[in-house]
Amino acid sequence: MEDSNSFSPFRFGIGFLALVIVALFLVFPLGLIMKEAFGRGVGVWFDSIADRDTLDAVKLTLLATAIVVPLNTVFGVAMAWALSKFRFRGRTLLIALIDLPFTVSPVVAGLIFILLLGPRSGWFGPWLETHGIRLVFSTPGIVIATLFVTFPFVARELIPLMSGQGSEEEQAALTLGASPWRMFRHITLPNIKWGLLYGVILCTARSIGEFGAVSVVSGHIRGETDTLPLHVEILYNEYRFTAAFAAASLLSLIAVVSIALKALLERRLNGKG
Amino acid sequence: MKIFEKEHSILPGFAPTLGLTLFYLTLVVLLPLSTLVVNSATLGFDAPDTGFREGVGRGIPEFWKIVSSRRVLASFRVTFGTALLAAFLNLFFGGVVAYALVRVKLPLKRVIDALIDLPFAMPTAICGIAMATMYAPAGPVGSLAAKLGIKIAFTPLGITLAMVFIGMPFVVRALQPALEDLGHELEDAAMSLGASRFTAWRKVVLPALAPPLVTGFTLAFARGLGEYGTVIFIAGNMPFKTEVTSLLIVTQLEQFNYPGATAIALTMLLASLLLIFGINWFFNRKHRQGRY
Amino acid sequence: MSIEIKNISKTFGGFQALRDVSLEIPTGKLVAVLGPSGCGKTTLLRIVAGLETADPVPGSDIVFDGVSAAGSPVNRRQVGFVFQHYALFRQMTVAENIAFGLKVKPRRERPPRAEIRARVEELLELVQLSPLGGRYPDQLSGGQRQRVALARALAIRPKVLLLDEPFGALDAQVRASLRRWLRQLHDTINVTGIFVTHDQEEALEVADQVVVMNRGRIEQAGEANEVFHHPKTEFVMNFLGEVNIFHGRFDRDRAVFGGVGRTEAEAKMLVRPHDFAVSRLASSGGIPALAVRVQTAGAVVKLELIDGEAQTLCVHLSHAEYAADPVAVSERVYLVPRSSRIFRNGEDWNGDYVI
Repeated sequence: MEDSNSFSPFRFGIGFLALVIVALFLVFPLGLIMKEAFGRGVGVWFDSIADRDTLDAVKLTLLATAIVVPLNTVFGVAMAWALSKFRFRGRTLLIALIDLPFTVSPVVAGLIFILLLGPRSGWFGPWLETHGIRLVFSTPGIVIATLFVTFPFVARELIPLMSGQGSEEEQAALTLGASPWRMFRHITLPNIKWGLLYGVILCTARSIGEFGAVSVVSGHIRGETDTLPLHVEILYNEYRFTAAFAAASLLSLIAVVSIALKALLERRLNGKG
Repeated sequence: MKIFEKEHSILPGFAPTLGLTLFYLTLVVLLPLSTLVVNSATLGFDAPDTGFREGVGRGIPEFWKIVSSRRVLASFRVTFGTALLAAFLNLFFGGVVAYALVRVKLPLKRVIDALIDLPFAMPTAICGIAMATMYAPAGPVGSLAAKLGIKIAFTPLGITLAMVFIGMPFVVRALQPALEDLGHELEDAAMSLGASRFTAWRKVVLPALAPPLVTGFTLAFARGLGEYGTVIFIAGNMPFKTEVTSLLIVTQLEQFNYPGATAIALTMLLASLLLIFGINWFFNRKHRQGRY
Repeated sequence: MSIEIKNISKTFGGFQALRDVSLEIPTGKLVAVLGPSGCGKTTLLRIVAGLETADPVPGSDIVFDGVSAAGSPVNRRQVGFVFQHYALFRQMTVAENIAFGLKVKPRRERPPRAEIRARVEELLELVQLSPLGGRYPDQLSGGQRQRVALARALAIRPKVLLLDEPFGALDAQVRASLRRWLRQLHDTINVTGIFVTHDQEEALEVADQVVVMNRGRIEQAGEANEVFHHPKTEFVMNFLGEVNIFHGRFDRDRAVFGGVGRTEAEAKMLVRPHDFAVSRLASSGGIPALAVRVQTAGAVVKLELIDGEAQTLCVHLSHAEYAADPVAVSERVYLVPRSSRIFRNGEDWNGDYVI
């Protein structure tokens, strides 16, 4: 019988082909970004990053992320608790509904918030306008759209994990006299910590990188409603390629860090817990 | 059991967490999505003096008119066509990569395995400009292709390649666990019974892999349908030729044509939901009809 | 602390797990609740612990030492519960597991850290796991995990110890030694305890009192000896050890055995394998049977015979008895029941009988 250690022309061929595919489709684009970004030297790269508008974009991106991730994490844990430790009618439906933001195109995700909150035609728009609150085409709109798009990440990571772990440990804790909050803090949370971290990383990465939905909702007012991904688009369309790629390289770096963390955590998840 | 009534369990916190779940889900997901449905029904005809019913009455024919206009139909053709082709291509590319990762001793396997997630983790705009630069006539791959007489940028081919990039992780990640579970035995057993490797594959391995293949295909396809950032830079965005539906929606929005944008968006959403459920249902049925 | 279980019923959806069960557990006794799967024993245990709630029937209650536990949530009942699959906290060491109950006490009641540590040491010694305090559950064997679960439950000085099939998941050897160990432990600590099991040997060996349950009801409760030698129902006798069953009719006041098929039988006579005398004489009045297998390799000699109704019978003889008159395969003998019980419609019946 063959095993993966023995040599076979077939396996060699497939392996080679796979490497070519990975190189062409995955490594090459990444390398290209880095080349374009640093092609004129680190000094130029740095100047591009330190540009006023770019920095503003970075700040906005971080602000949105700082609001969205904690919210989706807290609610994600609550949702996972309700949907994984109990059996009830409607559970499967709710789990499917949570996945909805995944199936929706980012552009549509942005559109629905314009329809909901937009000043001209939104359901709540006109009412908000008369009170001087503008949600779309400004920072709050970006936060809300990002909230929608990253909604499922934490919950869908935790639900199978918590279901699989069952509820016996929690029951044991209760018989030993723990209050519900202590039970959660000392038993449930430690058991889900790797899955939770994994979900948070995915949520953060997506939140930083979201483009389509934010683009629709933001109105592209430079300096005010530009996140970093949007800023990249603007720079590129103005033919300021090096600057665009400089910003892109930053985002790529974040992406690489997040997949590295993801890979590390995956081993933890599959090994222990 | 009534709906939302839990089975016996003494674990605390059901009512509050369920309440929070329903609240958050409705506020962030369901309410916004419902605007799409409701607005599509009335399409801006629900002015204060018109009633909702009348609005719907005039809205639905308008909806149809928008959705069947030439430009919109062309965008559907482009989008569905390229996404479909890309998903099929990914079955092949993704399949090869998944197989190699599971069965072949590759150098730097862990690094490559992590890299598979790159298209998933990177912001779509970044993917987009990378694609555009790579396949532009002056770019590294584009210039090579030009020598062979193939034009990539600003054509549906370019769109397809961009969608291949974005969809690859879905197929690979769907196949990996299935391949790992499968083990060598099936292939080897078939071959020991006299089948050539090709036949072993065709009759034994591929059918066993059908469910994850379908899952991966569907996810990649759905992602391609809705993709915006990765595609707009390389597509050229010429109406009727390389304009994808997501871009068309944005264009309508920029012109404040909300009814148009809404109608197209709802159509796309419904179509992708139907496709996803349809594909899954069809293949589940086939599988349930029992094979072994 | 004594436990009184009053009129407990429990329905799950359409299925009635417990039907009006009442039971008294005296202080300091270890009681086994024995029965086949689905008889409701685990449900009853969980209701006592507060992990399930009984159907709200008026008059139904769980009373600890005269005080009703009805309103009390599970984390206030001070019961020590040992789960079938241990439910050890996987992220904590053995010592941390045992200390848990003490550490989560409200501030007022919580003992100082030094005291907690001392108690953990004490318990580790009690369950003979002293060197393993720093290990994690996944580094322990099944038997060790069970002992940690027990130590953890005992740490809070519970008024009642409840064990749910504590040895069910262990293999035979470990089970036997842990059984003995539990008995010794109880003799030392004397906490009121209920343990649930489907293994009758375990129940008879470990418990002071045995409660036999079937289909949500208590069939019989009493001392192990009593229940084994004086079973009140056919089910109890059948469940607690091997039996041979003979079918018969009632003829006025007498039960007549022999020549009656299974389906027509109103009367059943149950005889334990070791309660037969083997005779060669028809005049002994015994049941005629044909020996088909003789197994001498074991603590007792086991005979397998076929009777007139084509039933397989099982008879145990001591080696001495057997040696006095060895029975060989395909020999015809007569089996005389030295002690038997007759049941009519499942209930015990006393009276004359004829074979």
